[in-house]
Amino acid sequence: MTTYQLRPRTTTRHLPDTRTRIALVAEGTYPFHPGGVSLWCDQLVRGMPEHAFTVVALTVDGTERPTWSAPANLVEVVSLPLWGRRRRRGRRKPKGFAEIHDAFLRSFIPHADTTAKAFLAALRAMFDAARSADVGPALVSNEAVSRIVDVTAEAYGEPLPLQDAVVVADLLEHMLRPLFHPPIRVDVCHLAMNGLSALVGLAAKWAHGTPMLMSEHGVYLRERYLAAVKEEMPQRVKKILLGFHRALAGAAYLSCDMLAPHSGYNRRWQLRNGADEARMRTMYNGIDPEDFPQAAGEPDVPTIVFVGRIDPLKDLHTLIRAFRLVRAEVPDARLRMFGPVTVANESYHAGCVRLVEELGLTGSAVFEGRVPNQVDAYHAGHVVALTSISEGFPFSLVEAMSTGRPPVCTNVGGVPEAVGDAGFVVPPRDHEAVARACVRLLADSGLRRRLGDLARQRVLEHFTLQRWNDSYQARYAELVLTGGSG
Amino acid sequence: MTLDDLVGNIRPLLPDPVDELQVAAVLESQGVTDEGASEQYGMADVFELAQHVYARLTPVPDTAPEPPAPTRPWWADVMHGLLYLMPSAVYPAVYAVLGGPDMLRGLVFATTAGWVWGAGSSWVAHRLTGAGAGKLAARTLVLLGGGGFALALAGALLILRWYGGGVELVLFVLAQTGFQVASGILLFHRRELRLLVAMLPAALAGLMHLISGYADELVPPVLLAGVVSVSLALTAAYRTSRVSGRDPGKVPPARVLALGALPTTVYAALCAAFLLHTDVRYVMGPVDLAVGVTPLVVGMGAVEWRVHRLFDQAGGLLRRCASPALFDRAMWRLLLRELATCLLVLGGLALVLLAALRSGGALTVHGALLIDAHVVLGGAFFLGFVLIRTGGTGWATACLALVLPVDVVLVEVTAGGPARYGDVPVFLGCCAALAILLLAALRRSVGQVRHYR
Repeated sequence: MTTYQLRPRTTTRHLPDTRTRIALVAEGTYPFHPGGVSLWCDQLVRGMPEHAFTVVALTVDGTERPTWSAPANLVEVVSLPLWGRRRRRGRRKPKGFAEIHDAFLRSFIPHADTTAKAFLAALRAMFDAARSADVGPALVSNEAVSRIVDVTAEAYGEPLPLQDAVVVADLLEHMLRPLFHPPIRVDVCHLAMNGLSALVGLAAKWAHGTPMLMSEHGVYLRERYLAAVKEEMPQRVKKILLGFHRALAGAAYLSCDMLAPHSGYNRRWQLRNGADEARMRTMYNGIDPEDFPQAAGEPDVPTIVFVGRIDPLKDLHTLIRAFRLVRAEVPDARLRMFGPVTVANESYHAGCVRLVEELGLTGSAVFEGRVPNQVDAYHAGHVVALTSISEGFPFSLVEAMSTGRPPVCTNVGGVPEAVGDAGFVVPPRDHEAVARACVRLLADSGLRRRLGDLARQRVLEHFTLQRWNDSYQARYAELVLTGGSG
Repeated sequence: MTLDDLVGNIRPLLPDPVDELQVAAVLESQGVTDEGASEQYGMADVFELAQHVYARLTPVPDTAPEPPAPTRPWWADVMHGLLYLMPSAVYPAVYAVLGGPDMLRGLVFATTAGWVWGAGSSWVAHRLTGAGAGKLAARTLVLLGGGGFALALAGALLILRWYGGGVELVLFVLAQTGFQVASGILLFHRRELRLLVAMLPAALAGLMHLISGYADELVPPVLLAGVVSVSLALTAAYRTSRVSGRDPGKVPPARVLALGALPTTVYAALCAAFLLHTDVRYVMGPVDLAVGVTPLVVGMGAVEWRVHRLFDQAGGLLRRCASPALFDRAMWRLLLRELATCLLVLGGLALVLLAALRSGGALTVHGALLIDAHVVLGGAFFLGFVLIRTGGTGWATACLALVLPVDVVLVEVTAGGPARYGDVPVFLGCCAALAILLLAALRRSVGQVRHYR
């Protein structure tokens, strides 16, 4: 476990730290990577200077370095590597591990109505065993692999081939690592998402009675399902791993003291997977409208703007194809795409550039890279387009709306809730529909102005940082009162 | 659109869904909403629609494709031994210039430093390649090769200061290091033939030198050929490593790489110490003892080849065995079979050498024992490679760390005794003990399926 102590826990030398301690768990995003979740975390920490935050990051190997500057009240970043060399925790073999492991596997292979509860109990047994012994080696031992083969044979009528069982054992060991790290000692454990982050919350809850609050930007399980479609992995392995994620998601929803989905759309998935409606409060992302003021005018050339990471999830191919149709109607139109390209997405970016060239759009469809001041990017367009195939409740959309630019978006995640009647929402991957909406807005300045005003108004009414901040303050206060320790 | 049409649209995207929730996720990513599910299909929501679509999607049989056959030809590994031996063709000429003691000091230092440094560098390069940073790995290997040169130069200057030897000694150390750096890079990139071609001038000149009965007038051209060969090898290594652009992978920090390379480097240092502690004493001795290491050097390529084959075959066992217990038993049989193969190859090479020495009237009992000891050591190196690749670097190091001091102490004891070359049986015994210890250590790892993902 790598811990970066960013600053002393107390700012006054001789006084005890009486601040509420919040652990923020956002898988590996904050403070290492750009993106909406990281921005959300940063806003949360900066918005509550009276609380002391510990960020728990599930990293690759613990060698990552923060790329976000640390707010004054971010006291610690705890890195839990999933893939680095496994830390030995005592030499003792866990007692009764065979039964624990067997119950764990049977809890989600195959999925059943009772899975979430059984999985939770099995995780608890695993957690207890790991407190006094080293569970990691036992999870990848020949005996553990043998149990995987046997349990799958019973569940599916045929045993999992040995080479696949090894993969499953190995991946399960990596994914369960957060459960075996020393539990975090805080007043509230705030999960930015479901999935492996929930293991950190469960460990803290079981060890210290720490209450658990879960926000979900996207729906973790849904994103795992979509990512698995393109993963090169035997189907039987996918089935088990996705079964694990489904069981974990359900177990986490059961254990959460409070759930704060970021949109009604997310809420549906959570309810579907066993979340308790009585503990749910939908909380939309918010921004500071003063940081994204309404644009004074419009650019000279009809311009469509995209702002966000250059990432396959943003489906820029659809946007580029749509723009070709737009150019047929509005010949002098421009498409400006603002956003960073991460190393992992370089090949996707190259593919987008190739598509621009193939469609003869060179010079009119341009990748502008990261812009120092994002508001300038929104002001640079008449229309803001977001053609993602998966979204939670995107900040970039709310920011664009705050500047009074009408959006053209795809109907994914919480996007329709954000847009309301202040823009166009079209089916995902439908470039013709995107093009029709863009042309309509570019051609009709009255409509553009009316929707832009509506967008700004909608942000001021529903999606401000202040409103969002106040809501989380209230949630923390409620949870601290119900918390077991700290 | 009817439900069947919808299923038809979803099937190419998701031919074999794991469950109905995955279908729901894909339906939503295609723009199907709760309203759409209700209006078009009369379902309560996307989830209910997904259940119907899931039921209509016929599962596709999950057949694991056979892994591609290994693309690396067997001779590429096997010829490593020959390549390792090639520089020795010019050693007689070097000997003629430097004399025995200076050459020995230079050779021992350059060989050891090159071996240990090369092991660390190679580990770093493989780690970077594994992290998806192949281009950086190539550049790093060149950079570390430069570091190896600097180390060699510093060491040569120290030898010069302490023992003398002249600038020729420094040049010899640099040339020997140059070969090891170049071979490390070229073998990493699987460019054995380039190294072979580069080293041909030195080998041919050395052969001419041998045929001439080590004529003095041939010494300068042989040395020149050696320099040409090393220069060609270094040029080939540099050109092979010349890559541009960024890697998509995440690069581990230098500290992590340095620490990670440490165990392998320590193991290599102990191997070098164990081998050279004995061989150094006989390089300038009677011919049957001086050439005792030859079967090991020539056969190392075959040892590496069998290690690769063992892991290739382990992959096959993983596909064929129904349970880890069966795999464990099969793996032990495989390990012992491959160990026997290594010993047979090394033993065959040793037999050729023994026969040649015998026919030349140069074979003694101690010479034969020393050759046998190197054959056993080759087997131990094979076991060490396997142990390291199955996560047992620490155990392999511990085995060597246990045997080496015993060897050193017993050699000191026997050296003072009445029997001449009494340390040779000690070395043979220590090699056998090392092999047994490594086999014992492999009990923990070789049958564990997790090492063969």
